Amino acid sequence: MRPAATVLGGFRHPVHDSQRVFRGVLDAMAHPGRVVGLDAAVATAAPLHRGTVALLLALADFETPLWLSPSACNDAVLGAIRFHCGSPIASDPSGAAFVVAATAAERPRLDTLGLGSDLYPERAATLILQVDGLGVGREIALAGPGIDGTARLAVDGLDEAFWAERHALEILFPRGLDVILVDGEAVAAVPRSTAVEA
Amino acid sequence: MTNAMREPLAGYNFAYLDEQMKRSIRRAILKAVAVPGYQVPFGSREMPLPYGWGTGGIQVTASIIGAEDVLKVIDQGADDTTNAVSIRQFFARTTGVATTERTAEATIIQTRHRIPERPLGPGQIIVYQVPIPEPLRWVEARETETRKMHALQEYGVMHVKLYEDIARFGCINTSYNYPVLVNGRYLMAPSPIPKFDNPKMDRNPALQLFGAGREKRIYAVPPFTSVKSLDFEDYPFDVQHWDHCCALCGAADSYLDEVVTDDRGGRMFVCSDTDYCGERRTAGHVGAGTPVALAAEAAE
Ligand SMILES: [Zn+2]
Repeated sequence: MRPAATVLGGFRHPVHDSQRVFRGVLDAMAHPGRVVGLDAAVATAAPLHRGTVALLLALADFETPLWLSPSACNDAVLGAIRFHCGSPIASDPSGAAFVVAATAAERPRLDTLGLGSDLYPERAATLILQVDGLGVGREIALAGPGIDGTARLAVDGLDEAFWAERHALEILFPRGLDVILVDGEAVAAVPRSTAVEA
Repeated sequence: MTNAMREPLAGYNFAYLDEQMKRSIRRAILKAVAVPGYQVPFGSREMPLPYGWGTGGIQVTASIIGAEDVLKVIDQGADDTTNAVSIRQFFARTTGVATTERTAEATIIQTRHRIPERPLGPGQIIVYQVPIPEPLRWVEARETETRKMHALQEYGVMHVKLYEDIARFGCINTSYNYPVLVNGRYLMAPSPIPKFDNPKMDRNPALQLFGAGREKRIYAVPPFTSVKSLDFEDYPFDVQHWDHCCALCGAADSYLDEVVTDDRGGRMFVCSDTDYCGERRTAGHVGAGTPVALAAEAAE
């Protein structure tokens, strides 16, 4: 007999773990460029990092269509999302509330994602982008709300084209894209209000 | 002064709201932080407290609070008013978190009508209870229109309204809920705090969150964000001033309330922020103490 497919574990303490992960990402979003550990004891489903799994468990549900980059579209990941989040899987990233890119190479072009409208800017997508390292690698200067002067964020494994595309979105504000970079269980946010060094 | 954490009451979800609702509010908060000053709609829930008791602020606090937080609740600057006590008890019962009256010890401060005098620090979150989130409501009643005005940054009508004040009264006659521009982009209602508190919002290291329950809106001011009170070159923004110091602690820099001290018309001016006043008195500061009217009579 074939054993029943095991579903990837969720949070051990859903109420408190969701709250802690949310506060971590809130801290990150309120302080762009700050590297925040999400402190989430969750199992990973390759190729997703623990931080990505924690973010989805805390924030995604049936109200938030989700797009997964090709390498993340495997049975283990899909099964876990179906079971724990219930998010509809979007075939087109432009219709997703959360866009998950397992690697920078797999990310869609930023201006093809949901950027919201001037009337409803909150409808813009959140891009969850996995990188090779946070706190190491090429440094980028950030300025704007949440930052006292200038912040410097070091990211490893993110191409120049990403920052150029991100910079190009700035004139569209309040439309734009809110980006959460993930490295293991660490995250750093670059919300649309942040000006990045071109 | 800090009440230790206790076991939350059985039968409630932590912080009363169900997880689905918290998640949806949390997503709204993140978007609000990403677009400073913009009002994000959210699916407000019925709360076991009536509107006007700060259900918007309560829902925001319920969605962010965790077991390790220390909560302070103030109403008009005081921790011991009926509204503040009810909300504090609500969270003590449904979360078991520690509560405090000390601004310095709180990780979350829920407030109606004041910002504490003691400067907030990095890592603190202040949650404002908002009755009417739309600053343009007084010049345009239709939500579809105010939404367009925000989208196009068409705020000229607000300046006209303030200028009409100047024409009629010789000054801008708005002393509460005085409109501000956030990060040079969105016009925002700071909630009915006195304009005395407006400068505290500017480049504050704390995260400021705003919740309106009846109108189902959440908005935010991230740390170190510019918050500018609207004004004119020839009529610059100014805050309230008093001819008195606090009668209890002698503070000359705090927002004062006039309180009646007896049935013979005795009155005095004291800090509206009870924690600030108490801290100063503990540190040895002393006010004149004498009720104003009686002092005036004695001088005659
Ligand atoms: Zn005082």
